Amino acid sequence: MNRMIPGVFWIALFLAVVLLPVTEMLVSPVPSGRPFWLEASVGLGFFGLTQIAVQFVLIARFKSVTAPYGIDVILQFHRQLAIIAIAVLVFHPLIIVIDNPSRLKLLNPLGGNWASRCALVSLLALLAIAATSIYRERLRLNYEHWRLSHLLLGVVAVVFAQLHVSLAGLYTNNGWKQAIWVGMAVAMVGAVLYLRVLKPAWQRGNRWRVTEVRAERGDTWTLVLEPVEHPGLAFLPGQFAWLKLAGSPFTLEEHPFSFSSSAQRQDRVEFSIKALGDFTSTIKDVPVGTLASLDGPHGAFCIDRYPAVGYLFIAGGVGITPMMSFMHTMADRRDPRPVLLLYADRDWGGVAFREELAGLQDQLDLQVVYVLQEPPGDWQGEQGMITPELLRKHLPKELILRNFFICGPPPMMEAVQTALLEMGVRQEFIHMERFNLA
Amino acid sequence: MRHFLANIATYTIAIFLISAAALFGWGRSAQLVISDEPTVLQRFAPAPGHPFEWTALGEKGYRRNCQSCHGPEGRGWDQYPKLDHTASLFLAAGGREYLIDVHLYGLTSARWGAPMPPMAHLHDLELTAVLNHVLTHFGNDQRLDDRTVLYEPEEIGPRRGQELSPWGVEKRRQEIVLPGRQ
Repeated sequence: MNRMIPGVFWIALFLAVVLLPVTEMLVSPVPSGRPFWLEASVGLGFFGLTQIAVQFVLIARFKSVTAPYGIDVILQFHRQLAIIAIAVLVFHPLIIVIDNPSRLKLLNPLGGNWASRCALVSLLALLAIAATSIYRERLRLNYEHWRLSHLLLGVVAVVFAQLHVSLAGLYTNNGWKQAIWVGMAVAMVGAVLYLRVLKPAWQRGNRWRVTEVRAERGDTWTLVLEPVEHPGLAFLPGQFAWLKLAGSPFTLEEHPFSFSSSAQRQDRVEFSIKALGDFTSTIKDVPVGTLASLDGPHGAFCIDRYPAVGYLFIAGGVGITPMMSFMHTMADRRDPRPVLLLYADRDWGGVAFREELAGLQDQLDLQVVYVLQEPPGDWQGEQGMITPELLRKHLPKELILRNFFICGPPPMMEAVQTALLEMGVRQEFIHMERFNLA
Repeated sequence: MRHFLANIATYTIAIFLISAAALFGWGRSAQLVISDEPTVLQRFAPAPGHPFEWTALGEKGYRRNCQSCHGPEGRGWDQYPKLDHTASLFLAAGGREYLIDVHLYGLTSARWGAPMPPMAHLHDLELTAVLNHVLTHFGNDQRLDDRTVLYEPEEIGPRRGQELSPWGVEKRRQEIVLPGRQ
């Protein structure tokens, strides 16, 4: 519960930050009021703008901000709040035009004034951001290109929105009000400098070297990294880091991966990566000796955060990687608590780490249940999907104080969560890693 | 659990912000006039080519300053007089100045149990607008004709700064002869 206080604090601060610049405009001298819908739409515009600016702070991976929630939740906030902000910002001109249709000419870049043109640029940039983010996969946008455009369009949107506010000038009608608005926008957008310049500069002194690239089953490769002249990285089991391979730490090309090694070893970390996409398919060709940078640790999907008398890990495919970190850490700590692992995958030949798991069973109170979608002919174990029946069959009768960790494809996680809730497992004991950080 | 709480937080934030925008819109549209806000009031001031815009100002000013005693329709109640005969006073000799004095210095009389408090804190523009509002409402408008010249803001200033008590105002009231009641 001690995470509750910072958790609520940051949300309160967020609301204060979004409300403050608007409140400041109500300090004298204030322009005279106009009809309700016009003013409400102006309110929406201002709230939308600050909310977009706050996004730059959200994604800057400040640890004190992300820690209470976990960075996947922060990115969920980022997606949802940004969509709300964009919707609000679409309503801002919409209401103004509906209020008086003769204002339609403001939407014509040739028809309006500079204030309306800046607003138009900003809004188009935001709509482009929304479209490329929601439909990135359908548009087949390369992840790195999308990332760069996302950042640039975001900056364009805030800068032009700020110009719109200054040029319209109704509320920012004196020096200090202007200064507060411009200062706020600059400060928030500046947070991106922390992420893209300051942090990488610090990472330059904390490089890592690839010492081994190990083939696992199921098209998965384990990348072993060792620190170059620094003590390494203290992380909690189940956390992850953004990995930048080769090149400078200032690159935009970085990918988040869970540590799969024991958290007891700071000086030798492993990432297990399944070849699923453009970048992950190149892991097998990474030469030993390659320099890398890590931004981490991040994430709230860890057993240390949720002490319990025993754990249930439910993994789908490569979702096993954080569980490997859990179990290696527990083995290194000689942790006696019981663990049940439900591990779903396509076929027996492709089940990554199954030999390693057999070894872990000697060191831990660990029971492993494999669930295969395409089992071999002589398969005696479970097959198909992780269904409520299967869960009922294998879960211990006593579920009260166990904690559940689920990681895998989103539909699987949803289905398992629903089934667990129906079985009477309390929501606060179910933990999921939504590894959709893009 | 984290994701579940996060969803609740998102909905809360969305609802909060939309209500805040509505509140902003309401606040900004309803606070047309702040009585001690000269900058706002100056927008209504008469200027070459643009007459004194007192209608909205007067309505809001009446609501803010007068209606709790004289009632929303100027009907008065108990110890507070109706405002349906203000135009008669206005049209009588000396009445135009008297009405301004009543507002600047208040009125205490034997006729009404409650005194009229002085309203000298009102800006000239707002006071003028309120006077014009009363003169054109509550039945007063029927007593006026096309030739009537309503108040202009510059009439207020010269009447400020007199040594006048609420009783003194009542004395001036006694000197005014109403046309209908001779």
